[in-house]
Amino acid sequence: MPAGYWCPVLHAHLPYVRHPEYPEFLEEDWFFEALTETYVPIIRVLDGLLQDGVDYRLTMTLSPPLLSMMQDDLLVGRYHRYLDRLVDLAHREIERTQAHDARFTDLARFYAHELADVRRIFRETYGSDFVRAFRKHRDAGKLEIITCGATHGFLPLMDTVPQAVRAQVLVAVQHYKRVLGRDPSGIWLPECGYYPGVEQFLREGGIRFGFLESLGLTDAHPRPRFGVHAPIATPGGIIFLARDMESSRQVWSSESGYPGDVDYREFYKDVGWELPMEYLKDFLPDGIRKNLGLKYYRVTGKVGLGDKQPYVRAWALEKAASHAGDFLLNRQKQVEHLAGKLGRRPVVVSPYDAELFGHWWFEGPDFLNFLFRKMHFDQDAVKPTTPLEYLEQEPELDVVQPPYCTWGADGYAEVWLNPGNDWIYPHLLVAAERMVELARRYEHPDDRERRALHQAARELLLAQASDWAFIMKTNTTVEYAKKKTRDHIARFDYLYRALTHHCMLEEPILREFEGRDNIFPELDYRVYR
Amino acid sequence: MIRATLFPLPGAEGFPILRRMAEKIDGGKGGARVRVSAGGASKPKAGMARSSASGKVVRGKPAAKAKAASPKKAAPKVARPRAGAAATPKTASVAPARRTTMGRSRAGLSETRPAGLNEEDQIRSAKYLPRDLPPRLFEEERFLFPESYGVNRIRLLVKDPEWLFVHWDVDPGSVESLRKALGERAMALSRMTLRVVDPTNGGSSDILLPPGARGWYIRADVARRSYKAELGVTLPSGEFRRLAESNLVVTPRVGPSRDRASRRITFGQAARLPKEAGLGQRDEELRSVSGAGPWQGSSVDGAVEGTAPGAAAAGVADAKAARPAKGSRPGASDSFRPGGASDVYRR
Repeated sequence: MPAGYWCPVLHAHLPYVRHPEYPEFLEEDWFFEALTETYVPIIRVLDGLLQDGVDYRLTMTLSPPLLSMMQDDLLVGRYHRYLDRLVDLAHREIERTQAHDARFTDLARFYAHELADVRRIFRETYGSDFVRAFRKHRDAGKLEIITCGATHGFLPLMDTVPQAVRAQVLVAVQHYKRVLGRDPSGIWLPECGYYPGVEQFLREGGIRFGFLESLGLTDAHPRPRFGVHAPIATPGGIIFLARDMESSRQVWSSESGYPGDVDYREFYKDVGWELPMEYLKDFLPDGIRKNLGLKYYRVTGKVGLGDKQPYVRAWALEKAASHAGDFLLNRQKQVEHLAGKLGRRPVVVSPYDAELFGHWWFEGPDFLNFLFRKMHFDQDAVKPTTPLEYLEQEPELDVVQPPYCTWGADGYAEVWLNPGNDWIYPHLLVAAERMVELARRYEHPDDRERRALHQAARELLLAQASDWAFIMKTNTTVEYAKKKTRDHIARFDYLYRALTHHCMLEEPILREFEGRDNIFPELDYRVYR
Repeated sequence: MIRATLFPLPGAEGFPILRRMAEKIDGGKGGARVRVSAGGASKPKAGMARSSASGKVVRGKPAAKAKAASPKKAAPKVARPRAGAAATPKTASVAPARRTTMGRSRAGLSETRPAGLNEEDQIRSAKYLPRDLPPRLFEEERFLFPESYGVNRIRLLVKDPEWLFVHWDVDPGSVESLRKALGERAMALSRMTLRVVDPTNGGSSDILLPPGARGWYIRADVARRSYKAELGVTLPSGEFRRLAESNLVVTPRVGPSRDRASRRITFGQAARLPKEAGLGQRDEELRSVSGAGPWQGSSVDGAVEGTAPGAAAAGVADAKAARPAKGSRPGASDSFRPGGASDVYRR
């Protein structure tokens, strides 16, 4: 019997970015990069564990937009092109470094091999239908797939239009059922954005459990007996597990966390920025520099980009192994200590953005690989688990009421509601109210009206992605985030006016919208009634 | 409350950050998360602290005005902030995404076959290339977010335990009627007003609004309590003519509860709770919010979480004595200085 349990959670989400109206679109790279550096490498690790009989458990959010993109022909096709290009570049890099910079030839070979392997797994092993990979591990009983908001909308700021919250939940649940063939038991509330009362809609969707920031339990009323290290039930009937800060810090912390180690790959030195434009022109179609994913330097220390030292793969792997050992040792001590203090077997919940592993922290998947193997072979004190498995072992729950909280920096909504992005909410909320109005007004729409109603719901959902507010706050691709907010509200507005007879509903325009914003093909506008 | 500060990873001093940034969690309650993206971003390192310029939380500041998107050219801009080197951060540049095919035609056989692809694969991959790009019919960039939705309404959102965000619309028709009723002069001397009300305990606070304001940040009391907001016009007589009333909100409780959980349930039982379970939770939250309102000195209504400021852990009598007079205590009533109205989103 283990002293306690470890519940790792990887939240995999990207906003729905799809631009058929252009042959290339920069922001579609988010999806391609995440596939290449995070999702495929993680599946490769899990495949290896399965093959080698390592007993692991993992909980993963596969957000509806991400699942949709994985199943979209256009994006999958563009991903093929992206990968082929990258493999091509890696091969050219082998030639170039052999001729001019032999320090990096081995690394170039490593990338060529690595990318070819990613391509093989994506195309051949899983036939370019990557959802199959996750289904496989779910069916093996190792992976718990949970859902999320339909488009990762930030629910606490939507609660004045309850139908909008309800739709985010129910559309996600319906989509999950269709793609994964089962009912989802768990949900990752977008941004862990919980507010008292959201349970009503989770129950309606058949959800049993979700996750909270640790603040949700430390400030719950009354206070739970076991702190954040056991799940609780709210009066609304949903089980919640709270994030453990200690294990989070070891990975997330930019000061003392593992990813900042000097031997790990440096994210900011990428060939896309370093090599001559003339050489890169086949790989930068817009003629604009961007990350290409081939990086030759290691973090090295607190030094300027110009002083970074070459990446040594072997050292990085050794570090990953040693960090995995360190993480495991800490979890062992932690669960032993907690078990003594609490008088029961604790669960340490460690949620992370999936894209941290691989894309940001290149060695992240290797770390997970070492960690699961060590956990399985080298000790007995801590066992990996999923929420449902843990609840079978320890079914008794305190009933407490968490406060409104999120996993944002301040524990609340600063990131998504501040002078930089607050302007979107009046428009999003009015659009939500208008959608409810449309849903109620149209009892018996004709064919085209029905299509317009479904499409209006899609546009609203896409506008609600919390990613846009987040990007505006973090000031990265702000123009794109503003564009997305504007584009979807603009399309919604057109459809609303057409449906309330303030303008003509033109078939070609409707078809254009349907062709571009084609998420949730089976969405029914009546979910907004 | 956590002050989120960005500390880039060691070795990345002064470097621009990713699309979503790592937020400091050492010693804090908040979560540090990194989301990934293509391309570096151009935000300077100091940007993420809550006290930083971008997120500066000034008491009672008005919200940014509604963004009016200006018509842009047909090609949407694709933001390409560049990763800046430590020494010379580059400015973000925005380049239009060109509606061109890739550098060379890849449909069918091409002169430069990518390594690792045989002819068959390349032909197959060509099917994914769009051959003809249909013309765009709807020009989203021409859309302007409305300045106003033309109705009298006001909505309150809770941002965190200390801050509320309120936004509103005004029906120009009702302003006109008022002008006709009052006359030009009286109307000129009247002010649009935001009234924040504590419905549980009574009492309210008025904020005279600058012309054109559509939103405001309201400082909430440190104790958990409920709030409503009203939009109206303060007439020269001092009368408040209400135009709209908002929804009711409750700020979240902060800090560990004094009471230890006593009610238990099993996993199986939780699923069998009636669907309406917990629906009364909000009402219960509102009921449990008691204690003196920030604007009056009435008696404390029983022991409750988060006692009124100044009351500390003392009993009711002490709490009564410690409560300062209306208007003299920092709180919702005194924090509303206008200014800082952001014009950033007006184009």
